[in-house]
Amino acid sequence: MTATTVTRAERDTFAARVHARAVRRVARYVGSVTLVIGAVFWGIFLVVTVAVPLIVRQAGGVMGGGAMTGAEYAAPWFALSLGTIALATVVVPHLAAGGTRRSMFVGALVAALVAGVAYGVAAMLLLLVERSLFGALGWEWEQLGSGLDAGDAWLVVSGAGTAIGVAVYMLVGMAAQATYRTNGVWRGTALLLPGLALLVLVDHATRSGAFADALGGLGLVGDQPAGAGLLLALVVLALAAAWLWWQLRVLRLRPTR
Amino acid sequence: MFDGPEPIYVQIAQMIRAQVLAGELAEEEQVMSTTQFATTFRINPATAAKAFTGLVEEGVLYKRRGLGMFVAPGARERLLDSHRKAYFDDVLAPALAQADLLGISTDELVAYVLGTDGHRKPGGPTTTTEES
Amino acid sequence: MTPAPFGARLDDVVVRFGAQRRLTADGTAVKDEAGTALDGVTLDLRPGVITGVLGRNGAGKSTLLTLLAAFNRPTEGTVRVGAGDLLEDPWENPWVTANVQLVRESGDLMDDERVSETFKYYADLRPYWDADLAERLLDTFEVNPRKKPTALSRGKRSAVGATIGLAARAPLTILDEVYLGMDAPTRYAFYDEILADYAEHPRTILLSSHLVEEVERLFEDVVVLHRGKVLLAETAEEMQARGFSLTGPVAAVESLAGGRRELHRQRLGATVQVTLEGAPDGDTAAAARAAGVELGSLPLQDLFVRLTQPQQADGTSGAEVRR
Repeated sequence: MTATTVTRAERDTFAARVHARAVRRVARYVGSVTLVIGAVFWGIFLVVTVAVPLIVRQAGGVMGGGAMTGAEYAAPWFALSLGTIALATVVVPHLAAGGTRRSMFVGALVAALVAGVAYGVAAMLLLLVERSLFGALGWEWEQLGSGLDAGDAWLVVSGAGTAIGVAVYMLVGMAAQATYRTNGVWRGTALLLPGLALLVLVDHATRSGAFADALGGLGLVGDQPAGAGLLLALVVLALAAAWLWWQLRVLRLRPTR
Repeated sequence: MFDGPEPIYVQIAQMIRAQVLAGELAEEEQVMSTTQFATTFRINPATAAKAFTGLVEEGVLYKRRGLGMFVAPGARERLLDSHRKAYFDDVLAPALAQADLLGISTDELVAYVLGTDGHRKPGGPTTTTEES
Repeated sequence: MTPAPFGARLDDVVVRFGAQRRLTADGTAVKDEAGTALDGVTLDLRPGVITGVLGRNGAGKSTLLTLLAAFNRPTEGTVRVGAGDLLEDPWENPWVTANVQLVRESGDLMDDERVSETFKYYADLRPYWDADLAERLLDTFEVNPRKKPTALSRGKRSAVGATIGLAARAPLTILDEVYLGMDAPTRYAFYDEILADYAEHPRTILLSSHLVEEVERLFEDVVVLHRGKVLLAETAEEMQARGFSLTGPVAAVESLAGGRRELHRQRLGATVQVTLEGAPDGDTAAAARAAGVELGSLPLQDLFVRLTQPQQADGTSGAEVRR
């Protein structure tokens, strides 16, 4: 039998149900890409973190800092490229399958937060592994990743810094992808700048990553209490989310011919 | 299939009528569903449905709820009747009018119909006069 | 229960595009010209019927169809899509978009994932997705779902798009030139599947195609677009009644044609076929029979070509439609 009319209530229930399903689906897709490929990333760094000191020790050398510094520098950029790729893959099929830009955004935001937390926890675990390895080898271990003044809470602050940084980078990467689709090559490139500013800001707030090093090298910034830094980082995270929504909400698919 | 100038549904109806007349579709026999019609002849199902609606109104087909369309009892007889009437009105009357115009006499026409004018009949209604 | 079919209404819709350089999926830059794709379109699309959307390249067909699926929104005017009395703006409206399936050429797929992954995505988002039908259709079209779209030929990719279009069972299903690269047997198999599934699950289907001769009989309604405007929107039956054809000896055909406007002429030796505007009257039919001239229906293709010709020999625009 065919229904001929749809009531307002049926319409609203339907809309809420399909929206929730679409959000979950985006979160699942983008989240699984970042988690599965992220697991490989962190797995490699675990091996490197353990193997390099052992090899150096074998050669009779001593290390001042471990390989985890590299992971902390690389993780946000890795998340940025994964975000870019995941959104590029999914955004057109998502709209074609009847998803909205809003469900795309909410799902992507959830995925970015989940990835951030997962990468943050992974970073904390690896820091602990590295510290105990250095202790076992009788070396002095210095944590290089985060420049926030955290005292005893250094581990949690590092993890939180990585988490927020990863989420921001991922959101900015996804926003860049959406920007290019809407604005084409020239304006799209120009519109990378606000995203870049967010990356610099979050690096600055957490005192980690290449941009923080650059700013520090220029003598522009000093130390910062961990609480204030993380709070600023959260503000940047909110801005990055807003930036992604700003780019997605106007996304149009032009005819291909 | 269905290349005539009339709408396709008219041509479909004509086809079904012809099949009933020729006895290819017996009374109480099920005819193809609109879906089968649509996919067989690659036409919109609504087109087939429209043909069926017309045939139901004419009493050629009838609908059995949930089962489909069937040839109505007496459909062939009714079609023969109406076609016979139509034959006189649509075919014979214009031909006779034309004959009148050309000055062909009734005798000549009768002789032609009976075959007594010696020509070879192109086939036509059976007459009482048997020919060898 | 089959959901209520969706219809649509457009009022004074204008779509303008700015010039833009964009990167395609394979990384090459393409220049999209600035221009007006739709120029004041007012149109009703009836729910529950198969409507043909015809027009030459660049007539605005694809743009019109993307508006209904909220891929895009109009520069001016309003678009309303829905069922019954409930017609709403499709833009960012999950109730509308989840009920509208637009398939463009080969479908919008995840390029770097297996076809089966894309299908899982659609299955999760599409409320009426029929996974069994999807599987059966891929089998019919001989597409291996474990392959990635990039590993498929153009025709097979179109078959994937066709499968999405039917399996989504959307109350408004839009198939925009979903046949590119398909060979004739595959196309006919696709038409058969459309008809069978439509009969089984009534819904609104918009079908855009350049292969007018192949698809004209599938239509109940026809819309012809030309240069961003609606040239004609009526039932296929009304459109069919706009003309007829005569085939036979030249002299006989000429005398029967009289002063009617000629849409198309094809000559084969002593035989000629002309397509004429208007309906044949009773006398024409009888006279044609007497003169050994065959009276035929109007090929939609001829009317379409005539209507959308850039410029007529007599100086009038082909876009002029006599009612």
